[in-house]
Amino acid sequence: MSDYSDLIILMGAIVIFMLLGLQANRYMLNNSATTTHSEVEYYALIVNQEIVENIRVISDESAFHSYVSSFPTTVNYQTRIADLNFIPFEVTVATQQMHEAHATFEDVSDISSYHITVTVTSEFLNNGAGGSVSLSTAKSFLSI
Amino acid sequence: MNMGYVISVIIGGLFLISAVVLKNNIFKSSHETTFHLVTNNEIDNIRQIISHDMRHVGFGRNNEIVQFNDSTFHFRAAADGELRDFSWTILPNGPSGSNPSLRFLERTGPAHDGTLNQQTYTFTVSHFRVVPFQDELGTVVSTSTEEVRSIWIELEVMSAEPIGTNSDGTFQYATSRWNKLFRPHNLNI
Repeated sequence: MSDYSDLIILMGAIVIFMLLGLQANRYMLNNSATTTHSEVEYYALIVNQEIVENIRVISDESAFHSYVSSFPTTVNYQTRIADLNFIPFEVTVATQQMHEAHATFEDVSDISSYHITVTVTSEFLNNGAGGSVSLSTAKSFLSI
Repeated sequence: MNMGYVISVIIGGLFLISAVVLKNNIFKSSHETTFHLVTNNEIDNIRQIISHDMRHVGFGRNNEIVQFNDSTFHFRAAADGELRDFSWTILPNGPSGSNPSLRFLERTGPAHDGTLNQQTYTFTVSHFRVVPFQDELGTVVSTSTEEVRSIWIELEVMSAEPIGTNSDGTFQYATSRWNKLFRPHNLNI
């Protein structure tokens, strides 16, 4: 180290090297964050589809109302068989009675139709900002 | 010894070490991402084949669920105009590798390879379980092949090689899980 110019060049090199390292680490963090978030989204869809399927097979209107009244609830989805790792999902089910659908029937007094929206919320969705996945289905009951 | 020379060697050494660590981290990260991708693709492929087979349950004349237990699900149903056998079996053995949880999963059934012959395909999974239920909501487990109304399938796929180490020293593997309660329409008419 003959004079200060060497030292300045060295410090510059250190700074550039550190910046490159930081950038590489940022990319790696982004990679694992994307992997984790897409995994959570995948599990949220599984939970959502399962509930929609459960609603679809209900044939009795009172059973439907009692099933829907069990929400909102928290579903702990186990992500691995061997250990107890799980992701908590908040599940809400919104139902809305459809009237306009009846216009296509001649005698509509004994048909009740519902528009059902199942929403699964997790704080890990939407790149960690928290978000939800929603699926909708329709269900009609004939009361004779 | 020249002091400047010693300092240069020390600084150069530090640079070298950090460059090696950085490169190692990049390799590890890409290794991890690749294994996650491969695992997810694999479970997606198996999932599609299971879903395809499950749509046939209860279809056609003389169809029947032949056998089910913890490791096997075997049924006979019409596919492409003929009565065919579909069977899914998890074997007790697995591939020789570093992951001891892996098992072979065998699927025997018609293959759309132009001939529609029975073919056996082998997949590598870490968990496969079939639970048949007597009701559509999957609450009462069925003990007879005649009473099955819905079928719960659990599937887990793990990477063959570890992607890291847990705090207790055990290996960590890329894992992906899928489960679904199938309600074949033909069993619920």
